[in-house]
Amino acid sequence: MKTQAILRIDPASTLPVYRQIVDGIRTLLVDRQLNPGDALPTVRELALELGVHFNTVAEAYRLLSSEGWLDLRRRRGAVVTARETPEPTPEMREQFNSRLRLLVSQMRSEGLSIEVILSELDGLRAELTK
Amino acid sequence: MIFYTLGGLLLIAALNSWTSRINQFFFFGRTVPEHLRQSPAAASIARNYLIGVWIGLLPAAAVFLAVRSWRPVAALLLAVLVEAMVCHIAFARAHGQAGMRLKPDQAEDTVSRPREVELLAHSTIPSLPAVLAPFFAGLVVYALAVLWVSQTAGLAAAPRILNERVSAHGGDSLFGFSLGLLAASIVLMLLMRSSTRVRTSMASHTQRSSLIASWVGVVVLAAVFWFALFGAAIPHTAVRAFLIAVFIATGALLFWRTLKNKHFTPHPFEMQGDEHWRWGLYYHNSADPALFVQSRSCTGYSLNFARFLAWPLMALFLAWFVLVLAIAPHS
Repeated sequence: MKTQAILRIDPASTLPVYRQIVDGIRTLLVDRQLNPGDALPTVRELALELGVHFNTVAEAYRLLSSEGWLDLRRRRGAVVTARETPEPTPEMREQFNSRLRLLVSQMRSEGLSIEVILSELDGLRAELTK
Repeated sequence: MIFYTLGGLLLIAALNSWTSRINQFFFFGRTVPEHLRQSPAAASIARNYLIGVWIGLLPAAAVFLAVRSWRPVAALLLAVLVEAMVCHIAFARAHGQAGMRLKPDQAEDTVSRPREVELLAHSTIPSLPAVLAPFFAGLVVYALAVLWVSQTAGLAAAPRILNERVSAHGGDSLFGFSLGLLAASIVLMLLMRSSTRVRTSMASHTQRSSLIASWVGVVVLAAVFWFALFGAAIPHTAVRAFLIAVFIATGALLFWRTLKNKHFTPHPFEMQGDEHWRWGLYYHNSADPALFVQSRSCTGYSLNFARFLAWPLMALFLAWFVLVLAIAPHS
């Protein structure tokens, strides 16, 4: 049975809504909850469902399209494409590494203990190697 | 006329009383918990609302009696308008009381509430080609009728002669009816599919009903042309009987929709949006991109007055009402 591909946004978050949409859909794509050939709702349909401005969704779809995830067809919404996984460069790896460290520092500065952070990372590791 | 008016007013009062009882989505419904809905405060608000609805009969009857010697049809319409206004005022009052007495702690706004969407659940409304098909079918019917007439009268004069034949065969009112039905239903379907949340049972129902209405328009148009070109004159009584049957069928459909209101659960975004219903009567939410939202009674649509297009649409509707009053017969 096909799992539901649920997109969640939180308007109260400090992260802009278009970024939340991009991150949310990208996560569903990486997790294979959205597969090549799947048709996403049109910009208007998704904007109305989420209760956000049309341009917000259009911007999110454009970003995902520029990353190679979506094929934007006029009046037909967006279709998930068979995207080839790019070869990671050493610079990119370094960039993600520093972002990960930054995130961990932020978690520690917000009071999360090292044990809790390690437990979260273990959970993530288990999900990735599943 | 007095019996029609009295019947109409009683019907409005009865419907308002009935829907306030059966419709769980009315002013107690969307956010107020079940135990509060059953509380003495809720019963008192409902009682006051019902008293308001039935008291509304008095000013409506007074308006009818004051105007009827001048213009009976206009008097009927004005009386209905007054009754509807009084019902709305009673509703607004009940909504305000429900807000203050039953849910004073609910300060959270829908604008800042988290939302979620199932991305792969697609709407069941008709596709764009299906929506436009009746329009093209109507064009084909008209073109065929013009071509048939042009065989004897020439292409240039054919549209005028076709119109004259339709008039001569008593098909004027049905011709106007079919064009109005066709245009209104197609425009409504196009407008709604890009400005409502289409993945709801209400949206599917409305779009399918409008599609059927547009095809009825095409069939009536074809029948009018057939009678004008090959048949006998359409009797006036038959036209009247048909229009009354359509009126009754529409009323029955609306009644059925009200009866089945629990099937038409609103979209979650609208379900918790009580605070955006000003005085409980009209929807105003500038954070909502939708132009049409499911009405508070859940059996139809209301406009979002924070969207600019809502105002010209409302002006058009009021202009139509004023036009009907202006051209209402004197006797």
